[in-house]
Amino acid sequence: MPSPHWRQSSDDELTAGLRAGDREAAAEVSRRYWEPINRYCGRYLGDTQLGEDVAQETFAKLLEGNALPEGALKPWLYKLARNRCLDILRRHQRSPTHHNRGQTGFDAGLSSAGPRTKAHRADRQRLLHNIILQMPEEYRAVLMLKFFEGLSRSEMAEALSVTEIAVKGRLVRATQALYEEMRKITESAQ
Amino acid sequence: MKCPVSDNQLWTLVLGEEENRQRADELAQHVAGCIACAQRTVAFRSMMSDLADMPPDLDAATALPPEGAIDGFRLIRQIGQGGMGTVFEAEQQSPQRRVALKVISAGQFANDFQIRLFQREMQTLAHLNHPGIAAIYNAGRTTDGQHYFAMELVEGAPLDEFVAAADAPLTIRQRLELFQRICDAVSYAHQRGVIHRDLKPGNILVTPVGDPKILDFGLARIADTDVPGSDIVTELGRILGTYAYMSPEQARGDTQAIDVRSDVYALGVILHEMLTGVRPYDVTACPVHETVRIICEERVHSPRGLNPSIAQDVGTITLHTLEKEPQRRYQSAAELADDVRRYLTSHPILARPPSRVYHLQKLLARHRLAFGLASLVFALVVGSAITFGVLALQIADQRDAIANQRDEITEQRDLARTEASKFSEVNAALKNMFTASNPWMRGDRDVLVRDVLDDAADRIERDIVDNPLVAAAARNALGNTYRGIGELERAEAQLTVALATRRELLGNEHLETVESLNDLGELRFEQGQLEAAEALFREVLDLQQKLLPPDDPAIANSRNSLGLVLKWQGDLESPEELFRQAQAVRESYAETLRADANTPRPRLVEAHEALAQTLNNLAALYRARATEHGAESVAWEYLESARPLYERALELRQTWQGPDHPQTAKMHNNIAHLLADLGDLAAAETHARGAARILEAALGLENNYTARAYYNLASLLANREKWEAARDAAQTALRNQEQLLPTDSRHIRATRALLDRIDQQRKSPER
Repeated sequence: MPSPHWRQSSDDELTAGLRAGDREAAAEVSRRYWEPINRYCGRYLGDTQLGEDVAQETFAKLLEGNALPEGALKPWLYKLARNRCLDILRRHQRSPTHHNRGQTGFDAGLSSAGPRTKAHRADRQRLLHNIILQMPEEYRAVLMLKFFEGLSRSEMAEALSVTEIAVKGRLVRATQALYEEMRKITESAQ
Repeated sequence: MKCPVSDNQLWTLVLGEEENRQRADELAQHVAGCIACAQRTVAFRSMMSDLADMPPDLDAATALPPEGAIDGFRLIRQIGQGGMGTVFEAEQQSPQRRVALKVISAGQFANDFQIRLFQREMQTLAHLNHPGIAAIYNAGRTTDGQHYFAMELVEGAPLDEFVAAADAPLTIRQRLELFQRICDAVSYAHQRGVIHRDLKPGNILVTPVGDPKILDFGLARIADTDVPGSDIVTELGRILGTYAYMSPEQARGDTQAIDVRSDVYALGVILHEMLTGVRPYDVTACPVHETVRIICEERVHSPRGLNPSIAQDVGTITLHTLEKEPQRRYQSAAELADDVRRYLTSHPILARPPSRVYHLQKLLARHRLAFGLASLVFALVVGSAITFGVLALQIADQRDAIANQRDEITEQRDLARTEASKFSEVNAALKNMFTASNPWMRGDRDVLVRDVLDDAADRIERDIVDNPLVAAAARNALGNTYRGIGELERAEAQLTVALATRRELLGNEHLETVESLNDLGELRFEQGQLEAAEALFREVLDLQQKLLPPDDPAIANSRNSLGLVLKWQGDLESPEELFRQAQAVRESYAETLRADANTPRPRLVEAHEALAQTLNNLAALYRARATEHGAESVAWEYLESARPLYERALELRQTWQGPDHPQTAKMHNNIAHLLADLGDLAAAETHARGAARILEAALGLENNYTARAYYNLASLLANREKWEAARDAAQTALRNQEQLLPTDSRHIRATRALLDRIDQQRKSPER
């Protein structure tokens, strides 16, 4: 178990510990961030078990000293996990942003009749999630990091290796696109 | 008129991304007055609220049964939920039968990726046709686009429930037979290139007639591309299984290392559970990193410990399946099934219990972070003891079997002798390193060493108990190591047994028995049982004189030890001759070693240290005599006799241990006392300062030896009436002693008394 003093440490102190090869620091990072990263990966891939795989790999790398943080700890962890998720997706799709979709954007996978689901919140959320999974990667990433993981703009910029201006732009476009898609689906269902 | 504010602008506002304060205020004001914008904003915020409150586990939400009809099936009830799929019991119309229908969870919103995984499972199962594996019937898509496949509906209990059924629990034999059938099914899948990767009792149902069926190949990995026309990538890095059944390579996330042997490991966990009712270790409530550590590092104990009715071979099979490294396990489920079959048909099994050397290596590997020295040396000693023991047994065997191969026997005997001498040298080195007065040992490190030693004691109990002489050698070494870290009771337990065994099996007149006698003598000395120690050392000396040449260093050691014991009992006469004889032998031995260019340095260091010790002991004897004779002139002579001995011992230690070694500091200290006795206080002060400096550098201030050295320095300085310096030194000593010792310790009292004296003198100095 990580020793008590690491539990009180800030993320910056943990980062220093990781860089110094302190296994207890790594253990505390894993304890502190397992839940959010696991959840993030599960959502990102649309599969909780596969998401757990990726989260496990991410933390295993950390514990074995095979990955050292660059910049702030939290965004870096997200970056690490997301890169692994992208690897997996890339193997199964031609590219992370390419889908065999129409010209007008992306498509939530409807092949025929829409759902008969009522507009209950859980159903709406499930739908939103699935739409997000279908979106181009640069949109999906910012939506998940902002709404599911609560990262700030600067943290997102670090996690995605882009500027804050880019994050802002993507976020606005992504939310807009999400809303439009949601609206299309729910209207066509009525 | 259409509102000029775009969705983009509104989103920027709602998301809080409008950094221009003025623009943000203007927009907000506009929204307040524009119905269209207000409505849009409300809708935007509603979506954001849905996003913000997204539950962490979407799969936990109830799965919707497929809305569309599934051609040819009637849904009855939901029977399970997995990572991606939901399983229903359904009735197939043609042929009429009950089936298990697995439907993809995300319904019609499944993306390409999810669909591919789902299809993969289906194709995996379609390829497998074995009575022990749930069969797949067909697959398709519902009218509203959901993917599904229909498979054999297995009516049965999960494996663990079946085995432990309250009314008629299975016998060990019956469990093994069932297990063998499970292994056969897994082996079949392996031969078709499929690794299950999530084997566990919950995935193995057993029908009422006792037929096992393996389910849920959802995590299966296809080892090669024998699935025709498939575009499934073979490197999907799925590492998950249920933690409790996960192999070390899976737990570590080492996806490239996962192969059929990972399934073998899971089968091992299952076997352990079938035999004992519990898994080899409990990781249920552990955080991830702790789980990984336990799986990868914690040693698995034989199931026989939990269920003594389990045969040795069955225990061996189980452990072999649970080896941490894949290359040490059965290389396939087929091999495992074969060995179980061999056991069941009373044939010898192929698996062997792990070797002692392997255990030692594991012991070292597990504790490598804690310390290196003790375990390494102990392993060497015990390792050589075992090697020696094994060789001895081999010699005996050979003598019986190959009576006319004399050359080979002679060679083996010579080899055994070499091993024996190597063994005793290593043992001596061990003793040297772990003397109780060795200031290198610190408190916290001792605890870790003791854990390793306790573990080693268990091993001797378990693994070497049927080779009593080897066990005795190991116990002896272990006893010495315990003594070295001050665990005298544990040391006594080991050494007394070692001695008793050796006496019984070898008799008194044997070097191994003598060694045990000697080591027990050293222990008694340390325990303060001086009469007992004296008796033991006398016996050792007697025997050594019968068994060894007169100039053997071992005899010098015994003379040295006996001399010390006698001196401690107040005899200041007889030790002199003993020390002088020891000195002569040690001088000659050291010279011989120096003359041989091939002598390794550690041996040289050891030999010269031994000589320095004897010189030190002799000098101390003279000092003690001087003290006895008080103010008489002969006292002076004794002191003068001691001086060159101390100086030579210091020189030896400076040369061979190094000028900054604590043993060298000890010599400085002794000389300081002597010089003070002789009245040469200036020279005494130099040495006392030297001692304090070395010990502070080597051991830090918070150490009893360092504190003592500062006390001695303070005392000297006080004698030289250097009050300020004396006070500083005394305070340094006291500060650290107060951290280390109980408040009523005599050392603290002495230091306080010294400080009082110094303070009094400072206030009213005597002239």
